Amino acid sequence: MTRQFVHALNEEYRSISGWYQLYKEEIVEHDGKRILFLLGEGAADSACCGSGGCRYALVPGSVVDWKSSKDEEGRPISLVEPVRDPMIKEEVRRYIREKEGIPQVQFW
Amino acid sequence: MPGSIRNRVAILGMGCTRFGERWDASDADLIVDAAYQAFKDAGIGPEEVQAAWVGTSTGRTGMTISEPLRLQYIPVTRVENACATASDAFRNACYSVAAGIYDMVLAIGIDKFKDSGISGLGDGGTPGPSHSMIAESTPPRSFAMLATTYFAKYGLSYEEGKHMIGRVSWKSHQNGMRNKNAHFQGNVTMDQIINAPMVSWPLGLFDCCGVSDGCAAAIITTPEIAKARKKDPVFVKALQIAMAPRDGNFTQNFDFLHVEATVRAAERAYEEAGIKNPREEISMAEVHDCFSITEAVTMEDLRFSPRGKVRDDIENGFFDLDGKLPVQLDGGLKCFGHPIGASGLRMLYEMYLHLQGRADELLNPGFPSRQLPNPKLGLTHNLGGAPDGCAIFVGIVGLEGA
Amino acid sequence: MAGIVSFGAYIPYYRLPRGVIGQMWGQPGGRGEKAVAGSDEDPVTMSVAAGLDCLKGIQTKTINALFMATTCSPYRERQCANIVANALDIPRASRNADFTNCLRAGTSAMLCALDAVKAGSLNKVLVTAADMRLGGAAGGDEQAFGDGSAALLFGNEKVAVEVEGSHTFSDDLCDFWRDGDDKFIRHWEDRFGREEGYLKIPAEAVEALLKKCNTAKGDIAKVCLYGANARVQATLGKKMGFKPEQLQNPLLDTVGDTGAALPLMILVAALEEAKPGDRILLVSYGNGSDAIMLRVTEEIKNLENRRGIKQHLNIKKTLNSYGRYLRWRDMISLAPAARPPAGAASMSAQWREHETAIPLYGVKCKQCGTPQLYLSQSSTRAHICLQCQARDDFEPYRFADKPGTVRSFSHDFLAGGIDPPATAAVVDFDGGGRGQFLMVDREPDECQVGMRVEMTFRQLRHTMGAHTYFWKCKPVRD
Repeated sequence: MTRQFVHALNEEYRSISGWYQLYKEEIVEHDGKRILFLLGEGAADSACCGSGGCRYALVPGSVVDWKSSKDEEGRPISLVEPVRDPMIKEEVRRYIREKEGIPQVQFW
Repeated sequence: MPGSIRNRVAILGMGCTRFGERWDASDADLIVDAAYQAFKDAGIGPEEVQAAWVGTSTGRTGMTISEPLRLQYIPVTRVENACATASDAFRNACYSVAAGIYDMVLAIGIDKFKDSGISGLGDGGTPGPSHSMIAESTPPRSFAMLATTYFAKYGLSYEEGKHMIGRVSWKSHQNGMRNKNAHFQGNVTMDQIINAPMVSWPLGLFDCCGVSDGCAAAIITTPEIAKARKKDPVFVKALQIAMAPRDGNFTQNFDFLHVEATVRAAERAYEEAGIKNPREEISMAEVHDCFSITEAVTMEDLRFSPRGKVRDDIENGFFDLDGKLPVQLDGGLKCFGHPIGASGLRMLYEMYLHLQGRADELLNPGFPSRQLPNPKLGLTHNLGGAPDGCAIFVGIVGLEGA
Repeated sequence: MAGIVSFGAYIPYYRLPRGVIGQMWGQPGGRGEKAVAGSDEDPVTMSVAAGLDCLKGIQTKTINALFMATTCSPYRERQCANIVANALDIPRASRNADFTNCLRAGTSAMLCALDAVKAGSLNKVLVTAADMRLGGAAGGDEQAFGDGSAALLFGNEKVAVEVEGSHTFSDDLCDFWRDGDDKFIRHWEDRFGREEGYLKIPAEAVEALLKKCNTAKGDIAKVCLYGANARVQATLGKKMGFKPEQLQNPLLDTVGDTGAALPLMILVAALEEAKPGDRILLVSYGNGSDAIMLRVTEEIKNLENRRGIKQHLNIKKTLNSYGRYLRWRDMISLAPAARPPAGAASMSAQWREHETAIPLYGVKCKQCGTPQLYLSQSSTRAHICLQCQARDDFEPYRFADKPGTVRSFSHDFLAGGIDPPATAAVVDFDGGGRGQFLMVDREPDECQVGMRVEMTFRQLRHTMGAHTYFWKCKPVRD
């Protein structure tokens, strides 16, 4: 099932407990598929649970249609297919860990 | 049950400050603000208050309020019961009126965290063997365990489970943005919630509440005085506390899919209030949503949703403001905020406003009404501690005939 | 005849390739890898780990002394052997002692244990040796030193390895040293230690021992020879007249120089391959030399079910980050944490609870039979049964030796700590009972509901100069 991904780099999102933003977009080729991942940073600076910052990676999925439309604010939208195969997840995770040194990798 | 509180006491007035990072306000400022709102709403002066109960997790003795309010030598009791602190202060105040000892009392909850220089709450470390890793545990770690087992037990994929708890937070943000006294009033999308970094897997940043500064207060009196002074007072229907033996981490019987103390307190409250089918009879609720998964599981523990089925209700909008049983109408802990010692009275304040038809007093300009049409009964719930062991409060308030 | 009744060993899960260190400093990397203790491990915890391996199936209440050897005691003043004995559930009536300050501490403890057992003053003595010497960044010691431990149980019955004789030369030849304030070892010129010390003293001890035992070099199956450097160790073996195949692998390429523990670890590795009748020569070095002649008996066949050196060598995870290593070893100044400080450990409470918390005892209710732990912030002693509410009607029930299954878990990215995320797990023990513990030596991705775990004794926190130890869980890896 494909999903829309809105490209919005360097926009800070706040919750009551902290903030995060996505600051970098990259594509990794895997078995003929182009898998989109983003690097993000954030911090829980006002949570009851304490405070801490982190860098992390978000993997929306493999690109089906690249920046084919725009949202109301003019941000480009791509169609992606979320990664479900555990083997592919593991390989993408390893790639990001080795290239970017980021252990926290989340998949859509 | 030996006795019931149902319709034996009434709320004459309430007040609640704006919650948030109140760099501008001291604890005294917040206490005076909330207390005098409540005095004004009740139509009384402070000299009419005969006794008071103050809930706070950071304050000290009854002087936490007698000093800033310059109360004149009346009895004041300080109450602490983690996140159920304010509700327990309210419960004790109600009992004193029901017992016939007083007929005009104050219950007030206050916490002011934002002068400590650190984020978050300490590990509460009284010196001990410190062998227990539970003493070192953090709240998100404990509550994430509910999500881990809930997903595993009901066969939810990570994506399905993550969407379910994200939808819980999304709904609260929809409500919180309408409320001008809420700590966090921003709009967020489902994607923004899902894309956030993990705090304690599988709970992300938007699954967690924050800490806030704030104060809320209530004036409690007898039904006779309330009816004489006010046309539509709110009556107390049930007040229940259940304290767990804290055995969840030590017995294989505990399933990490529910919170037993919530079930016990809720069933006693329903009996006290004469409620058979809470899903149908309760009009609205404010529950302890320290984490999104806590709220989801609580919906099942309160019998709002059948066991294992809360996902359907969440995803179908059953608990949305325009749903069948709106929950977190003011944004909950997640958006209105969480000054531990004040939260229970803040929840009660939201029920009180809706029952009196005054919810739009706090409406942010430009938003559609947030007032529920004809609510009869409102439920409040607090969880102090962790799923494996906690203090639970369940209270029900409503109009006289409800 | 007195001798070794059981043996065990422990090698930490993480291995740092020497190439990773070399890469960091632009130097040649050296061969192989070194074992690196986790941030919550120290000689006390590693002694417990080797002790658990050694004592599998042995009634610990029958042990009446624990001798712990290390050059890296976490305390300058406090008996660490007591903590290890307590964790291993060895009774209070035990003649515990710390052997320290010398690389021969491990073999010294062995000889003392042997003499006490031989004399009949002690029945069973557990000797543990553990070390984790720290080398300064970018120096040779950093490449050479590794972490690990071994444990040997001495007794008079069911002896698997008899001790035929020993010879010791004590010699205050000071080729390396540390004073009370030194974090790292200081060396005199290497050639002095090598030519006058290492290449001479052990050879003299071995010659004297062979004469005493009337044994020919060719009759020895394996020589377990301590060495800080594989090349020089081989040179000494050759100089003493042994064939290369007689020398037991000194573990330097796989584990590193584990100091006082190394001779015992090499011995354990040799015993894992030994046949009844084999003669094994053990030789240590450090301010002198101990040479010990051992002979394997038929009983060795009963000692196969342990991880020892062989299995522990394969239970490993490559640590590819030099930065994490520096952080674990407190070798780098970190930004201060923005979290409330952890509460202090209470010495009085720890002492009061030493029969429950440190050996991880819960209770079993005599009324309803429910095994249960009681772990609260202020106490580890149960009074009321959580199942039937009977009061104080329990028998002691140990959980440390029970494996379990993970019922729930989470990875806490906010908990701070030295190596985030902190993984916590609710563990349902085989045979009943449950506890929540931190999980270590795990990859976050491998964690799932239903995974099998076992208990491991670790440091929990370090406040006011005091180490607090408690049990954590780790994935079962065989």
